[in-house]
Amino acid sequence: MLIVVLLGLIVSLLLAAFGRHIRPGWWIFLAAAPLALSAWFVGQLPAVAGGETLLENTRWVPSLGLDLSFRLDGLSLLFGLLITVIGTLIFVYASSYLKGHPYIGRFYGYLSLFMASMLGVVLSDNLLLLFVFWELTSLSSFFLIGFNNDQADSRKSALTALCLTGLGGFFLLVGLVLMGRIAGTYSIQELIASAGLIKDHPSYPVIIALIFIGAFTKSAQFPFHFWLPDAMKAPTPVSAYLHSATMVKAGVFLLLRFTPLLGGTPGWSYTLLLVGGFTMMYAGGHALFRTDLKSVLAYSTIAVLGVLTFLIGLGTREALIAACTFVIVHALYKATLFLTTGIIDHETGTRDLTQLSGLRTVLMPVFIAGLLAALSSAGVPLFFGFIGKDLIYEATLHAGEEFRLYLTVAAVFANICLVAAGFMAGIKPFTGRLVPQFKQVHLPEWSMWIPPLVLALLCLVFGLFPGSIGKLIVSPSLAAVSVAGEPVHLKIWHGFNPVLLLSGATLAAGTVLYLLNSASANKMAFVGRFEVVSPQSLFNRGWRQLMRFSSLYTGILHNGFLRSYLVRIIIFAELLLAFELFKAGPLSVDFDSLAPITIYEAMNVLLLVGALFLVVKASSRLTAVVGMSVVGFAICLMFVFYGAPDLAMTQFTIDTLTVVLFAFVLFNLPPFLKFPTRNKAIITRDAVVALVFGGILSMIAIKVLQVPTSKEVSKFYGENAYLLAKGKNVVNVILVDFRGFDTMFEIVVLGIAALGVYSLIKLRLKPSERE
Amino acid sequence: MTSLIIVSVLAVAVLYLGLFKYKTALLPVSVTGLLAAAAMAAMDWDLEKMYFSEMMLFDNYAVAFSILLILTTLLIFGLSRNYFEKISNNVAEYYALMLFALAGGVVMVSFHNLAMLFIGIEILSISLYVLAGIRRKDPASNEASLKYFLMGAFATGFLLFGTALIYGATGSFNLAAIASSGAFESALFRAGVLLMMVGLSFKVSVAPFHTWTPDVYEGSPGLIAMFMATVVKTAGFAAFLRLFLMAFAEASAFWAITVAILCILTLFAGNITAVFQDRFKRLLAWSSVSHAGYLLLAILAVGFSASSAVLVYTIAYSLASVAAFGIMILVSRARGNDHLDSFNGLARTNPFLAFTLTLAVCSLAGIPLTAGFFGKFYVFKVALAQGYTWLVVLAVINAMIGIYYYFKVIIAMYMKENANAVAIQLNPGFRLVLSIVVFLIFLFGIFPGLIANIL
Amino acid sequence: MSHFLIVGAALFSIGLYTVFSRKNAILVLIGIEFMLNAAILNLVAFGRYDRIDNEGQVFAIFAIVLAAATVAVALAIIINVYKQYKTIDPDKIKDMKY
Repeated sequence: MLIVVLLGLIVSLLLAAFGRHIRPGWWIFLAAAPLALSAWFVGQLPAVAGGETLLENTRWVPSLGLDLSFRLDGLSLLFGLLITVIGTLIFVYASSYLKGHPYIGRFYGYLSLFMASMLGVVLSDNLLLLFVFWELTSLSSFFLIGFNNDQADSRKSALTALCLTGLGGFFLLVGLVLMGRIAGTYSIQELIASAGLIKDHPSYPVIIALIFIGAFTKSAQFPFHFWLPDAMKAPTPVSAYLHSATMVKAGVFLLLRFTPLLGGTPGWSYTLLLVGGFTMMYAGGHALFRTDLKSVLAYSTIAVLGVLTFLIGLGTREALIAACTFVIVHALYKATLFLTTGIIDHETGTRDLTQLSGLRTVLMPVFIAGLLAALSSAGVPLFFGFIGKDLIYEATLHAGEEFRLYLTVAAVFANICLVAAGFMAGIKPFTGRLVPQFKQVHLPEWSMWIPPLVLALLCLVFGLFPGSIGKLIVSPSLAAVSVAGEPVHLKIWHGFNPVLLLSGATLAAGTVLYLLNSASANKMAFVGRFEVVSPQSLFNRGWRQLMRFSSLYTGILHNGFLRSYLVRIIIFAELLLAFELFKAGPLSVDFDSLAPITIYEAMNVLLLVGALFLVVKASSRLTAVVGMSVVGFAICLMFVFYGAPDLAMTQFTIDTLTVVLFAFVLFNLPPFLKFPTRNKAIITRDAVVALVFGGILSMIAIKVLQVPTSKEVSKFYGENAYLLAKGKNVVNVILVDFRGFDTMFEIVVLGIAALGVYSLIKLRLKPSERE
Repeated sequence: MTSLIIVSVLAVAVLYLGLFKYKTALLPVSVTGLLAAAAMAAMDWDLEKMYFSEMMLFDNYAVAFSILLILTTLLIFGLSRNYFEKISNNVAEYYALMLFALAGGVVMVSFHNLAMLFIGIEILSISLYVLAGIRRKDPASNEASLKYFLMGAFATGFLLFGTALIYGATGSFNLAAIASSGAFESALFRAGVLLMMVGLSFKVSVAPFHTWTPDVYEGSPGLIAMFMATVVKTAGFAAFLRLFLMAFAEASAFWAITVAILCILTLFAGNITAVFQDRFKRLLAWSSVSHAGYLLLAILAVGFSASSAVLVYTIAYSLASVAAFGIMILVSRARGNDHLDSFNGLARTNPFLAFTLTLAVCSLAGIPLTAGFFGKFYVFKVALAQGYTWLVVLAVINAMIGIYYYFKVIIAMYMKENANAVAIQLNPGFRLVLSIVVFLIFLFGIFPGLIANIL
Repeated sequence: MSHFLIVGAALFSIGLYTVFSRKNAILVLIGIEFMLNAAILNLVAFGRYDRIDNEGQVFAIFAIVLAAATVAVALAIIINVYKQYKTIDPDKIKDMKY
């Protein structure tokens, strides 16, 4: 299975390397890759339908719990088939849709990358591996949405989509890692085996919240749905493939995959029911107001994703059957509708529903495809959509007593909208009178109209033979997402029952709605008025606020003023220290414990303070330097008091040297400005900040008296020094060993300093460098 | 230890070469020397040798980070042919100062005594103060140098004061002795830890001590900024972690909360400012601030996995930064500035550069199949293992903001056109280094086990 | 010992004050020197308890020498800045921001 996943990656890499050598007409042959893969998946059908699960495990990074483990069960097979079969048709279609485009090589590269990563998502049996592929789908989607590089809009949409799905992806990662930690494994199979462990864990709510965010952003659930309509800036084959048939279903796939692991709890069910239910009604309603064909399709896709989430939330056996079936139903008809839309757009140059009409006379095969897909979407008997719709109603009607009514009403409402939206996209542009401006429109190459026709015919064929689909695909999928029961029997005819009644009513109501609802710009404007409170504009506004805040924040805090930077550092350090001091408890100062001060010490401190004052207030160069040297010598004296005469000598020498250096430099610089008139408030602020710092440090110093220093360490260290440095006298060891070493590094530092001064100043200027 | 001596001697040798005007020999000698140093460092593997009365300890941690620092410097040297010649006549100084800084970095990752930490930091910093300002005629370079110095020396003051307090509380500078002193309750010790944290945070540009970063990166020559973003940051974090791991680990209960606060501040400070940058160099500078935030996450998780996480993260980050800064240098040289618009149409004129930069920013953003993803994954994992779920969630939101600004440059390269752009010429050094970086980013992105299991 | 710690703290704080209140790079540098001196003073003060190892004093020597090296580099930087900007007021040197 590794090779199945890698094939797309290899194709993509080869394209990156050799893409420019491919002749214009040859792109269609790339479809051989997805075709071969779909053949492989079809070949696995009997085995998987027989209840087998194919496993493949390669060690990758065992220390991180990351294995290349793949698993082909019913659910992965269902998605794998969708990805490869629809992929093949898209590859064919795009070869003429983008004919002559300068970057067609890149396009196929991204598309192959996407196909590989999507297959990776559905085949992974390892949480982290799944995440890796999950992010790669977002990445390839980003490149594909932004593919039309002449539009600023498409760039923006690409980035929004990537940020939202990327955010969801990272949340998902956190959820997955948490799960993996609790169960001690990242293998999905093993996790499912220990499902109870996670459900009972206190962080279960956090985990499902994180995973929901991941799934909802990917599958465009309210309130994250708005990236999907924006993503319609992508070339239409991309919209058909990624943004309706496969990638957006990754979230649904994830929820299905985790149903046996996390599902069944109230938190899981209610969240999914609410979010899915709201999304399907909200987006279904929205679809009807759109005038752009792709927009209609985008919103109806969101609605369907809502339906799927809703069904998973319901979680009963009927609901899961319905979800699995509806995934196929939707992929088939929606991809068809997108592809026909693409042809219309490609040939007429517009997707505006208010202008398009009567195209059936010029685009007959396309009309047939659109019509079949629309009928399937509407759930007309004998079409696959009919079976899907039946199953949904069956699921809602068999739900718990108290909710049954609400759930059914919601489902009926969403489905009515979907019927109308399907008709708008599949029938509306073809009916009516042919507008003169479209008289010249002609059928494109076969490679563009055959793919939608094939998909449309599949809608019909699957509808006629639901039994085998049920047996081959839906039953094994169900086995993968819930406890296995008896095999699923999909039937065309269930007899007269409430479900049939509801289906009929939905169809009728949807048709009526379609006929009454003529697309018009006014309605768009009407919906537009509510844009202000939509999640999209809230998000955009939030983002703009963030940018404004960012620029404000940067302008204020990063103004280039060194001193304000420094003050901030000190204040923060003070806060840290003060907090620590506060935690350490009340302060009691015992003045008796302070050692008596000798007269010399007192004199010295006085000297020091005087000199410091001199420096702080200095307004001439000389005062500053003199003050500084006095401070240095006062410190020398202190060293003497502390019995460190050698240190005092060093300090004395260095201090003298420093003062000379300062004097040398200072008198090459201008004299200090006469005391600049400074703001009193700033002086006070500076003084307060400094005083607080001194205060805190002093308090800590006083506290030291209460906690005697441990001398144990010193002893321990002395013993060690004896052993390690093989010396008999510790002082000797230090003098010889320590100081020898110190000196070496001191010399290094001094050398660097000398070099630095030299290269900065260049005492002898070269002729070329003289100003 | 031998490697440290080689690096120091190499620096002096390079100076002599410069003195005797063997300019063509500079690069070959430095590269050979660095390779030798890396090889000698590798020989110390598993030896765990103490040097100079326990002042330095060459354990595996030190060896791994030393090799990382040396090899990163090697990559930077690979880009530097013909670079410094354009700035100054005295090329030898650049090499020597960078080698000295590298020696400081090696000391910083192998210290076992606060004295050595201090010396290492000083060696590194003093070299950098000079390097930042080495373009003497350029006001920006001077400004960078002044700001870096004044703030850096200021932070050194904190570091030194903190060291003194810890010495007062525990009676020793030795890491093992500090760890076993049991003085963790004393106010002196805690104040010392906090002050040292302030000093170190400055060096690795953790907010709110990061304010120098963008100005200094912008003003310094591009390769020096690259050096700061890679070698200096790696050495700083390795030292930070080493100190907190070997000396203060037992007291983690009290400093963890501070590190967590710093982590949040850093992530937001870096990212919020980066989103509206339109010059690539400043953008990288701000993003380097945010990366410090992710690395702090790993420090929170004291333990062996923390060092491994920091190693993986710094390797990934260094590789990506070398590529990003390198291409920034090329583009700003060819097109006059490093504004994001200068990258328009790069995918058409220079597909290789565009691809490399895409890979580099994907790695910085943490996209899978690049080394950076595993860096992020690893730090998130160790932080989650310590129960910092909320912190990781905040970090994740920041990762999203990161994607936004990193991908702006990808958008410029692939989705915007520039009709006038001509292809940028690459010298062989650049081509070689960038190819190596691409290979390694992929290699570590696909086989992270190669670096995740080192420590 | 506390006296010296308090003197150290005071010296450190005055250094801080000088650093961020004076509009002259040289005085800022002197302020930084004070901060370093304060730390060194503390090292020596604590070293008194540690007569066997004398580590504190050893460290103090380093710090003194390093501080001197730093000063030398700093003065070179300041001279260069002065050549470029004709001022050494850090507040006036702020071409780079945001």
